Amino acid sequence: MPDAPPAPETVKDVETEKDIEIRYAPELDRISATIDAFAEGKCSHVAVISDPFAGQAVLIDEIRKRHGDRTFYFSFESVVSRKDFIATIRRQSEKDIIIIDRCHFLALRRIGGFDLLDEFLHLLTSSRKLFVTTWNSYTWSYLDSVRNISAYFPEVIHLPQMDIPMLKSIILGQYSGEIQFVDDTPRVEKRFLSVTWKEAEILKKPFRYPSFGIHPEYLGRSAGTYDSVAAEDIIFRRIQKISDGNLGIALKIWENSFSYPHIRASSIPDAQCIIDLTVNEAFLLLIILSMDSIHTDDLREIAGPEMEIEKVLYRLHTLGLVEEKDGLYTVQPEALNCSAVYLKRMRMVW
Amino acid sequence: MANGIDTQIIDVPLSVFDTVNTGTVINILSIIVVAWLLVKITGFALKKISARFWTYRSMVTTLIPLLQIVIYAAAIYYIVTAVIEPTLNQLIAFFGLFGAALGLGLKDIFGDIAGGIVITFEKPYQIGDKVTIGEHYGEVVDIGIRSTRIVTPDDSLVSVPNYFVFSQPSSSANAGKPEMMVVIDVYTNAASDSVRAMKILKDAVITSKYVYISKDRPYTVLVEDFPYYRRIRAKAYVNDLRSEFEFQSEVTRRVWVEYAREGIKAPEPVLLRGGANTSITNNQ
Repeated sequence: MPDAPPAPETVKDVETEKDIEIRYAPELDRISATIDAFAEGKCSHVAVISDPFAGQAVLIDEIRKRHGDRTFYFSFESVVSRKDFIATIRRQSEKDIIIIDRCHFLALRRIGGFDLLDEFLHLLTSSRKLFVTTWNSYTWSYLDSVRNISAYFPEVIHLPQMDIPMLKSIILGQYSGEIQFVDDTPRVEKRFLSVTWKEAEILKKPFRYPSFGIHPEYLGRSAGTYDSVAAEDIIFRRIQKISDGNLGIALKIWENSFSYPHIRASSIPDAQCIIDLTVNEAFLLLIILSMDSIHTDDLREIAGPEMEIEKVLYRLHTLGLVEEKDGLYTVQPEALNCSAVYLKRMRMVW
Repeated sequence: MANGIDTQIIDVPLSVFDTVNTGTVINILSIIVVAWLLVKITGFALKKISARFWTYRSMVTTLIPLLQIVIYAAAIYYIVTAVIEPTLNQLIAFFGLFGAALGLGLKDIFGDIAGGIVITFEKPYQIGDKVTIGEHYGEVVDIGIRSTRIVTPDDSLVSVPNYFVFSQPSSSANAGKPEMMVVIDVYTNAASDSVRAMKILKDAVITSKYVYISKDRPYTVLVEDFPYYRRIRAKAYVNDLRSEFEFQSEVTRRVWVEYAREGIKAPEPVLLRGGANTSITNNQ
């Protein structure tokens, strides 16, 4: 049996240069056109918008590679509390393209939390340089609603979701040996419409009710022919459904489910999305989702004294929605799509 | 000839009672009970569904009064056609009695039923809306055949007869949408920096966990001068109308914490003495 390859850490480790060129061809073309127009005197600042884990860094790396001698790169690593970065950017007199990564750290959702963003936007409007910026999609939609931020960026590029063939090509591209796909899901789930019986309690009495599941991957196939459905397709459909085309999440799911050389459909987590949160829990989940990763102290500042954030974070953690590392909270990759859908339904994501 | 007519008129009601025996009464009662149960079960289920899918709440709750009318109408139709099976004469007699009942004091009940039908189809408000009907403000929790029930902010259940829809103006704050506009007023003294006060209120509104902002649902912050104070008013949408008061309270609390930090003060009471204005401060 061949040795298992090392688990990928990030999207960057997995995508080849060719993958990136194919995947981001339209986006790279748009940015190149903007840079060309800038050389002719038309300055249209660029905002690259992406979901957490979607891998906008590979796009930025590609731009830096193409225009290395003209670019100054700056990345925010956490919530910005000082305006030193303004002076740092102003000092770059010899570079005419300023790339600023993770600009969502410029705003904090509290009273007075937009001052540094305003400073940055002032710099943007008064500078003669071209700014290429990256933003978390949830922060972007929030700032666009409350501050009309898109007015400052004539070129807004949303990173596209990946389809199944693209996901398959990038994920399988890591391996040279044969991967064995196993569809070991129960027979009852291998129909377009499945019915399973679940139990609940009504007035302290057990009660059985039917639970219906829809599996589009089995559409048009009769129960007798389910074995012929390619396990590979089933597995990638599931991964795409949970990740919603987000490569970083798809890789995480793959990594957690893959045991070289086998990948089993049953090891891919259920795509069911059942969340029921209080307003405080939903709000902190939204903040964590909007910031990619955020420190407890910043969360405390946003939450204010009326919210017991330890309790709220504990619940979010136990529900498997967020994870914590060294005081930094991030959304669990597998729960991102589900969380976003829930927050949209709660009208917290606009 | 005249005697013949009299006999016929007297005979008709008697023949109606001839067809209504104990079995018929039990059948009618059973149908009414089944219809009532169906109305309750569907109402309960649809309310549960609307609570779960809050965004599509209005679509689901619209069905509740509509189903009530359909179920009760079907029950009445079934009772009349399949259980009583009246003849033409019996029907004429029934409508005669029905008209008399209307005239004798049941007109309010029928007015309520007609009002219920108008509310169902015209939808001046729906279940879940925040409405003002007459002098009552609250959330509509049920639109029945006879009355509309609203829960006031202090948790009182008020039953408003449906015929009010013809005689009283009603206003719905959200018109079937999950979000609704909330007006938040804070008052500062005339000496305070109103530009700063407006910015703080604006920040408090847009950073609230309850706010909902979009191109169609913008927010605004306004200032108005009064003789001894200024009113800073924010108008913004709350993401779930059930959180109307929490939204107001949360924004007001955060604003005053920040105002205290920035030295923005509340208006001071003013006494008018012999035409001269005197301001009372804490020291006095």
